[in-house]
Amino acid sequence: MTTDVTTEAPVAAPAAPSRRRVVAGRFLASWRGRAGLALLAALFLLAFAGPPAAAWSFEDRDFLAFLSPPTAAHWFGTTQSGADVFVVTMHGMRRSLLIGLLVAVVSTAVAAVVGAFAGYYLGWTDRVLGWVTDLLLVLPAFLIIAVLSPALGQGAWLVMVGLLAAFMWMVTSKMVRGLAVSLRKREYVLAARFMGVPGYKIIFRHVIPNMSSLLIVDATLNVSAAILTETTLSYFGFGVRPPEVSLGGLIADGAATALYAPWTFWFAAGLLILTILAVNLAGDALRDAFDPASGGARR
Amino acid sequence: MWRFVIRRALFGLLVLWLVATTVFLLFFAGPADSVARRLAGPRAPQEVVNQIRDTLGLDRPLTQQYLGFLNKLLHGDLGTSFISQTPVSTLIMASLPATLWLVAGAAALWLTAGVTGGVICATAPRSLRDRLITVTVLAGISLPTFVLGIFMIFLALSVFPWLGLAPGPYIPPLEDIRGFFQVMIMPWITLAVVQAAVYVRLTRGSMLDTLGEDYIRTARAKGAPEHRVTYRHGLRAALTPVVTQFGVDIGALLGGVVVTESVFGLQGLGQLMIRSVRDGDLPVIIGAAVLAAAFIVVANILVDIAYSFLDPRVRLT
Repeated sequence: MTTDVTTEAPVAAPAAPSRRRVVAGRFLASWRGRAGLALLAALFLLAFAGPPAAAWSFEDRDFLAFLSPPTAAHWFGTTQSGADVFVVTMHGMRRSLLIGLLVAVVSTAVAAVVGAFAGYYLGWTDRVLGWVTDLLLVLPAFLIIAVLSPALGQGAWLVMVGLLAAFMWMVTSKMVRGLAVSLRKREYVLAARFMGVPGYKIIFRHVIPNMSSLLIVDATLNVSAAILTETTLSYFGFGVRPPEVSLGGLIADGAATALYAPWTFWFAAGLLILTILAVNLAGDALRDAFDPASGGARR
Repeated sequence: MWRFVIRRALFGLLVLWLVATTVFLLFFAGPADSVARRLAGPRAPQEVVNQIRDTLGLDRPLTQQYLGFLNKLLHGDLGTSFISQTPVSTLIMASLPATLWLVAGAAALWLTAGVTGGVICATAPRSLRDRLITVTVLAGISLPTFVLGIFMIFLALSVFPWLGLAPGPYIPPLEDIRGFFQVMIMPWITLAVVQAAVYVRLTRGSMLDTLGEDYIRTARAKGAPEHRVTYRHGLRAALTPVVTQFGVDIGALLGGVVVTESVFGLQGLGQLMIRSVRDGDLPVIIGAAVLAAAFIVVANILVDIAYSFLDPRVRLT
């Protein structure tokens, strides 16, 4: 496990190398950072290397074993239709992990751009972007995604990513705006402005890179929020649709048979909890590594 | 103060109007036939589609439909459900008690547990109990509500059947107080666990900030007992961010505790929402969306007013 930790470490790093080493060192010095990273690496390994190692494929149905408990042939047992729970769960986890990561990256990117433009230009740009942000905060996101998702058709999980991201960036963008307001008065920003660098270039070259620590921490914590939202929607049948599977849909299916066939439910539920826990551990440790003064887990 | 409330209320109305418009456009923008088809569902026969188009007047220009929609909304008429043919306001009023009781009970639990936990942590930072609580909180935050809910039902049915705890349907407390508690306890705990975790973090962080302030040192220096310093001087000021979060959460949850209600089969607003989305019951969806937004707007105004009471430095202008 230790090898995974060292190879993954640079992900947690901002631009300057010396600071990068300091932050990575602090991150790895905390047990939460180590545990989160190791757990995440193990889960990714399982999700992507697991299914090829199993004897069954995603479409396979074992007609000799319906609703069988875990055996040597079916590591996590089988479902009512004879599908291998291990392979199906790994497929679901892969989808959930991918959606979570993508949503976090997209929503943090949107938050950074919107917040930085609002905070740098102020005035009308700020006011209009502020209205959009406030309106999106008030709209019932769950309801709207649930209503829109059937219109997407099957297999459109990338559109799902866009929808989830569209309702997740607002709070971060408010924080980014606040930071940008203070950054715009800094000497290096003023210097660039007096040299005639256009505003959008200043934003992308100077303002956004200088809040990378906030953005990295926020993106990490957004991963768990995104996975939670996606699995909840899928649990209700409004998220990822068959034939594609997500952990949420699997848990909903498993819940129906949980009382007499616990393996259909507990593996998917347990892996979902582990995934979110791992992301949260890593996110917390990252925040403390960037800002040791934050005094442990604080929001 | 009153000027502030009036200005915020007017702004809130503006936001509600924007929400209603957005929801309206989401459903009604587009050619009449495709809108009717979307409402009827992909497998509905053509006659049904035609009927929907005619009864809703989807042939009219969009502006005219929009004005009609706004006019009805202004008169408090949310329309009639496609499915059950009852007025939407009746459906909402019937679902409201379950949601109100669920949120009220859970809020009492999570606020008590959250603030207590946060204070315990903040008074002894980096101690063993602080670390234990922090780890528990992390686990709590990582628990998806629906998994926790299913787990509770599993426990209630297979391990503690003698407790008589059962998932839904909602029983009004005046009818059968025992049954009310047997139905509500599990949803209360489920909703409170996840929320309490957030509140422990929030209270701990805010308390640590406050306890580092100068006036706390002054209070200690003049010889105030430690519990008085913690609660009278520290906690009161530290509660400001907690109150913000509380207002936002209550507003959002009253709009529909979708997951908890559905897992436990309580017929509240969240359940109504899910059902109307599944059935494509448009008037109910719009009604629920506007109501949910209204709860959030009102909660935000109340939070701002509460600020001025908690923190004497805040003046409302």
